Amino acid sequence: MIMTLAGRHPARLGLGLLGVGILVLALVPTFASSYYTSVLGEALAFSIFAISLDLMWGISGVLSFGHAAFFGIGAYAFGLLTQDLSGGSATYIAVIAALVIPGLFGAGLGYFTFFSGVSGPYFAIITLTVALILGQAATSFPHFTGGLNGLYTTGLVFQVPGGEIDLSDVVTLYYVALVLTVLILFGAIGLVRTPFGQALVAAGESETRAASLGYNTALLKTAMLAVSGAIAGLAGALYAPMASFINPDVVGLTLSTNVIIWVALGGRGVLVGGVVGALIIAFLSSYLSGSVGHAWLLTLGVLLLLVVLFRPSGLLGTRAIRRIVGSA
Amino acid sequence: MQQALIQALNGLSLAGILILVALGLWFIFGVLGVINLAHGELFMLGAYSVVVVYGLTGSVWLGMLVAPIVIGALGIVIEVSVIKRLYERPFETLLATWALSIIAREGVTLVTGGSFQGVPAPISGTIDLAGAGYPLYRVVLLGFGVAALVAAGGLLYRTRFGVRARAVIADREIAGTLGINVQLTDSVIFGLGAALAGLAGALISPLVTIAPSMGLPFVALSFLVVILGGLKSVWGLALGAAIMGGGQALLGFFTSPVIAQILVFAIAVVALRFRPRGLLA
Repeated sequence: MIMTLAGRHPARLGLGLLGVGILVLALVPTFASSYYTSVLGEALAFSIFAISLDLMWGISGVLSFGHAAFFGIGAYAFGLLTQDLSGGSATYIAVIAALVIPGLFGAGLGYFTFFSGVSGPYFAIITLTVALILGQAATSFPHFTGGLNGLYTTGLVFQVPGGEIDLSDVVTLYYVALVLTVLILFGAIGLVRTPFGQALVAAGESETRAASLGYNTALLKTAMLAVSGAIAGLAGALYAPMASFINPDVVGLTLSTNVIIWVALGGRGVLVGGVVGALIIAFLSSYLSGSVGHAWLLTLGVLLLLVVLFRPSGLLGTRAIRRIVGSA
Repeated sequence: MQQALIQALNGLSLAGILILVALGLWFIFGVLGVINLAHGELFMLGAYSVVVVYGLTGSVWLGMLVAPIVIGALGIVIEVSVIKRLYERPFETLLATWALSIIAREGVTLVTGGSFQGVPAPISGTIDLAGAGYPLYRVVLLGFGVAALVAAGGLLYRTRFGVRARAVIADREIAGTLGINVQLTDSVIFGLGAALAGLAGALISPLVTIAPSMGLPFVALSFLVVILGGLKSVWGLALGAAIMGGGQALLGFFTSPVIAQILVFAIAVVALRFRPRGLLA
């Protein structure tokens, strides 16, 4: 059914499905308990993170194995600044820092890797090491990061014209997350359609070909890493008040590889795929990891292996759905 | 002075272990073009093999003998059941081996209940080092690293199998048309790389706390060793291992281990900026 409908009006159906999805998500707080609302809110923050990874991996063809570095730097920048600064503008400054610092980190990392001709698996290894080391650093400097005890990010408010947004209210935070997810999803889809995005898609398919057409692929990929890092940082800043505290897990290898699983499962190169994967897995995770713990992590490993072996394009990666959602 | 000498020797014995782990990675990457993210877990399983054999027989040496054989066999099983299916999709092997790494880590955690284990050193003696006792076992460890490097060099450059393996590294398709059994070479090399990781894990087991997550830091350092050393020569690996292992131990003399690790990593990344194909390329 979907196939035939997609054949006639693929874009219209895609937008329709997306609209229904957003509507259902918008109604969640009206019928779900505040526990499930907060779980789903976190899943939305993770889905923004998944979009940022897919911009690198699915769109630009460069797999970052340490993307939590950006997410965690954003979360820590936000947490530390809201703690150290006081007054109404603190949250604004913290959000800007959570965008700018990870973005600059991405630009710097891109300079040292893409401009050296580092690509494919080498880039994956370097980023993996970055996440591993940042995770250790966050644990080892407790006077700065709060160490394993974490850094508390509670009781924050966001000053807006005509009032304030209370970031300790579950439902408010949920809607902030939903609005940001929708904005970033459409922003990312728009970005992919710009000449910049299309050049990166070309570089992802064949770097040699894109380079021979005159594109400076190292510069393009570095710019995308900065954008992707900034989005991941924003996701981290959104996650911080939701979790009430941040610990070294937000910057480490486990989260870095979890986001890969979300995007792989949802379907890479289809930006909404990462959102779907993150919503499914992050929701199931917080539901199951408390009760079955390591058995759930083991299940995730098996799931990743099965996806890679038997369904490499992920849940939404089929050609029909690619045409519906239309991006990339 | 004494302290510096001890740090230098610590650095060298770390380099010895890194050489073994990196050598396995290097073989697998060089021949199959596969980055084995489960390498750290093969290393971890090597250490657990010693725990199991030591628990059954009371002999650490026997465990160190059994570990590379068991882990090597496991490597061949992995190559045949997973890696071969992803022949045309090298990127996917990264994900598949990461999935295996999660499965191994969480599986071992479930089986052992996550408790930390330890085994005693098979050689308990010390050598006299300017008045201080230094564990003899650590010195032996370095010997193993060098011996493995020489053996690998010999295997690659002095045997028929080495010729075939180098032919596959140079050009898979041409090697196949010349009658070399590429698939068999792949399986053997993957098994060999796994066995080296298992051996490294077994050898280090008396020196560290054995835990399901012990493989990750070692494998990350070893990847940097491979990147620093480059893919062209075995000797680049030795240099890379000496820089990473020695650098970390020497810097650890002046600052905290974590800062030392960050600095060593920064050195590796900056070196990569200027020598993208490895230090000796």
